[in-house]
Amino acid sequence: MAKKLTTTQLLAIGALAALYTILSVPGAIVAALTGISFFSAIANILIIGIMYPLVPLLFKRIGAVTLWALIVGIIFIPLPLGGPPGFLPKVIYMAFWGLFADFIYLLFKRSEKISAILIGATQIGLGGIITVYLWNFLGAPKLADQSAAVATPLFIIAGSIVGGIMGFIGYLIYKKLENTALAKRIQI
Amino acid sequence: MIKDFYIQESSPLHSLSFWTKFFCFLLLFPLAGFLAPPFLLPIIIAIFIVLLILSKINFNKFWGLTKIYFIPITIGVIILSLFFSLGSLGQRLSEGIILALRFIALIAFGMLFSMVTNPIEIPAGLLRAKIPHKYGITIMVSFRMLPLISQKIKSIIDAQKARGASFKISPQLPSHVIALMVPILHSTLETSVKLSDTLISRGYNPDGKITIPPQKIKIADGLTLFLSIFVLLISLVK
Repeated sequence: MAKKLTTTQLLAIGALAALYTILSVPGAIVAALTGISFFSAIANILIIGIMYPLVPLLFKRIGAVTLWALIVGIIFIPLPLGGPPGFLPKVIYMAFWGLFADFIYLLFKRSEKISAILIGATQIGLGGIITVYLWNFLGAPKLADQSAAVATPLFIIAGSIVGGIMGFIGYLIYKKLENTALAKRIQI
Repeated sequence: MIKDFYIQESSPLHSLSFWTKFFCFLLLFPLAGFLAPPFLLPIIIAIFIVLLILSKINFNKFWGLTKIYFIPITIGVIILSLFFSLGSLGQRLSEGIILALRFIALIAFGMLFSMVTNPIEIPAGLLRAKIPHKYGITIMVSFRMLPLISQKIKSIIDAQKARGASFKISPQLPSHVIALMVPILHSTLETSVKLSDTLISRGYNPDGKITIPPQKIKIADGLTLFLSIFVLLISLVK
């Protein structure tokens, strides 16, 4: 049976969600400036590419990044991030990306480096295509059209490369934190 | 950051139930704003102005917090409409203005929600909706930590700059990002671990029972819900 999340892990997830929100503010400004929410993801490529691979590595458990992304989605509700302000399906949208990162981590958890690179690459590169289908599925065809206009094959290839690099940076950051008492505490 | 949006006042809007505010300001009114035919948009904006007056929030304060969204969105949407919409220049311009108004209504209600909802109401509202308190606590921690982490990031950036770090695009950027992210993450996790130690020492158990303060639904809640549902229904009539 899977162990339940401890108080320390729950609070660390909450704190990392707050950190991600603050680091995503530049993307919110870009999205507000253009009125196209997908641009917030492009502006935040650095943060998305680092944070999504980092969270599963820090917690070393399946489900942590899904919960983290779900909380990020809830915090994003009044902000122009992940979708227009007040648009509730973006909570599900964000949770999906957490679930997706969890899935990749589950598949490749034997090699932390590969899982980090793949999470970064898929979140940004492949994310372009998935976003279109996901917004259509969530009943937001306008957002799907906006994403489709941006997600060209060139974007997907370039995004995958950049995402992979960011994932690797995320892995290097994790390596710096791996042996700290804090990392050990949240992994218990 | 979000905590900074909350404006403490004693108004009918502030005293509404969390779920009334959540459904009306984040779902029903914004949805009406997007679905309403253009002639109904001024009515929705008028309703918003009435609600803003009822909230006792100073208009200048509201404008100060929202202009960063309103001005770029209005300009951006109109410019994009001029480029991408079909029809004559006048039609494209009016389409851009209508779309900008829809976005403004959406953001205005979202901001009003943030301004009249104390972050502490969010986990309490989630607890009342029978969402396990351990997740409610996690969300509350996230909201509460926003200003704290924001300050810490600022001081870490200042400290790194004082040591000669530069965050311009260069081949050294990855190492500078790592040099910045490691202390930021360490500081964030340290704060959360300290907080969890405090909670554990006070006997908090994420899987145990917790007492939730009761909340009654008032007449004002019913009226606000009725108004928002009515506006949404009228918006659906073509």
